[in-house]
Amino acid sequence: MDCETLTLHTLVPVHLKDRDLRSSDIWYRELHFERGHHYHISAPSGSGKTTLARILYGISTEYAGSYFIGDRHAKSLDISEWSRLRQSEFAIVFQDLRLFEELNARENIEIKNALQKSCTDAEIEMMLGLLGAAHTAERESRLLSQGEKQRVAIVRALCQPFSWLILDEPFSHLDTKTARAAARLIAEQAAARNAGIISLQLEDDDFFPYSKKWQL
Amino acid sequence: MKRPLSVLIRQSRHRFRLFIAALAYFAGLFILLVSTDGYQRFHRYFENAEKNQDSYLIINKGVQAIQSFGSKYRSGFSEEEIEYIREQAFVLDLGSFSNSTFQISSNLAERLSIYTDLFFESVPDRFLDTIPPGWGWKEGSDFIPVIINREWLNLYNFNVSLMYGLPQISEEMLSKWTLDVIISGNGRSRHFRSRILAFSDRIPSVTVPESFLLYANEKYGQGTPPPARLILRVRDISDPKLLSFLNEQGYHYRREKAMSGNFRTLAAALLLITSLTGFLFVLFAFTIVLTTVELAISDISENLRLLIHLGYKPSGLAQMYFREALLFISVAAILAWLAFLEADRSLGSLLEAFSQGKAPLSIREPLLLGILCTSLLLLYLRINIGRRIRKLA
Repeated sequence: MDCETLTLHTLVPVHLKDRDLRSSDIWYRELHFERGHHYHISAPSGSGKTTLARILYGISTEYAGSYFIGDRHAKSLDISEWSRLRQSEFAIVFQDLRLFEELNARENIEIKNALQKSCTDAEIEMMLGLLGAAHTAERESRLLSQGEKQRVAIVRALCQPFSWLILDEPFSHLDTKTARAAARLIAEQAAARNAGIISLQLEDDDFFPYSKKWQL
Repeated sequence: MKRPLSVLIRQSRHRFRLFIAALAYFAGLFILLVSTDGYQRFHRYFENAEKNQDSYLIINKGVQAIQSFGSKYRSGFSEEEIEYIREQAFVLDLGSFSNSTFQISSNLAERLSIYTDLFFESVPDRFLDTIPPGWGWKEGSDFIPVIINREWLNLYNFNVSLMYGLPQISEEMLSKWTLDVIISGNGRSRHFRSRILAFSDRIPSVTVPESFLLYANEKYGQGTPPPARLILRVRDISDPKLLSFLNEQGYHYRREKAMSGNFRTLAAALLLITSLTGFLFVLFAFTIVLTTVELAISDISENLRLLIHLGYKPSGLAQMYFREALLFISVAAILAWLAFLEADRSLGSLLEAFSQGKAPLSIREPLLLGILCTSLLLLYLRINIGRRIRKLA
């Protein structure tokens, strides 16, 4: 399936329909995301940032207008097509991280890596090390701090082939230094796959060399 | 990566519930199989018994108050009536009971000091259920063989003897006693010896050979009157046409196999009820299995949802879930089948014991039933698990 471009056509989430969205660069607009480019979308809390991430990742279909992946209507994709996309085209770091509480950090990453086996144990080790989280590997995730969880979630997102990486406030629990290290790792991994990054943030930032910056 | 996934999906408390559900399925399927098999066996057994053996029916006209004081030959069947009955399609054969019209007295049993007037009846030999050796009579012989109804002996043994403190008599003992019989009438009398040669379940009378009765009626009595009772051989005793014919004509009848007929209905009803219970059990077990699996899915719905969001296929997850249920249900079904085979063996020998014939073995239908039930359950389970998990996405 062609995933070179993502297109939003006068798209708006159902629950935001009644709001005044004239100032938005995204809702009700015609937007193109090109693979290999980095996009920054900033918005204050409650303006539909996570909703946009969920729509792009195929979890939410509660919207009016259209979302195209290549030339395919996103709503026309069935669940097994979405499974395939999530295994090898779309990676995501959820805002609420979403780790399995019953598993330790390594298992949380392995459970994703098992799908496509795109990283070796050593590579996972290395990535955790780069983010200063090597010590968390064997710890149950319910015992991890938010910052540690966030680093595990980032590594998990990188353990697969992808054309698109969706980041929903990926550094919110990290100090600036760790955030920079994480951004560097992400940028490298994305570059290696010629992937596009859609970074949803509360405020403006310069973590990535953005092609476009939009206000939600 | 197998291990982390099984940690997420399989939890021991679901296993326990699934075990209980499988137990219920085992019980339900077992009862269903056994009762269905039993029902089928009984049905076939009686069908065979009926196929191999025509039934006999004894009919008589109702006794009416005025008639009983009237003519000598009270409620007898006329030649025309007999012919009319014989013409009916359901009547395979017909025989008349002939009554004695002479005086008979006997020391029925000297040792018991019972002296009595007797009566004799006869039917053509082909209507006897048992023809003992030495049966028959030729002119000049002074020995009269007798067949009496077995129920009478039972009546004596289980009622009279107990009530009056008399000794019980076995068939063997009774058969050894020779009776002295005096036949008289028309100003003549003659002394005979007699012995009970056999006991009949079919003929409710004191039966002597027809040749003797006709001879004695001519010589000592007033000839042979029109028969008061007829015995019919019919293909099917519960043929509605037969029964409505008898009712229309106002004939009373006595079935040879009334007891087994009742028993059959009772057994069939009981087995049917058991079958239904088994079926209900299976339904309950279905429900328990489904509820258990649904509960298990909803208990870990967050994990399943996240797995799907990470890229796991709902169908694959459903398959993993299903495989576990499949294991439990299959083991339950196989155990139920083995238990059924064991029960079937006992039921088979039981049936053979109380019937003379071999009970037909009938594994095919229960096997199909078991496979059908289990496949239906598994199919429904598979579809349901798939639908539940897809819904999470």
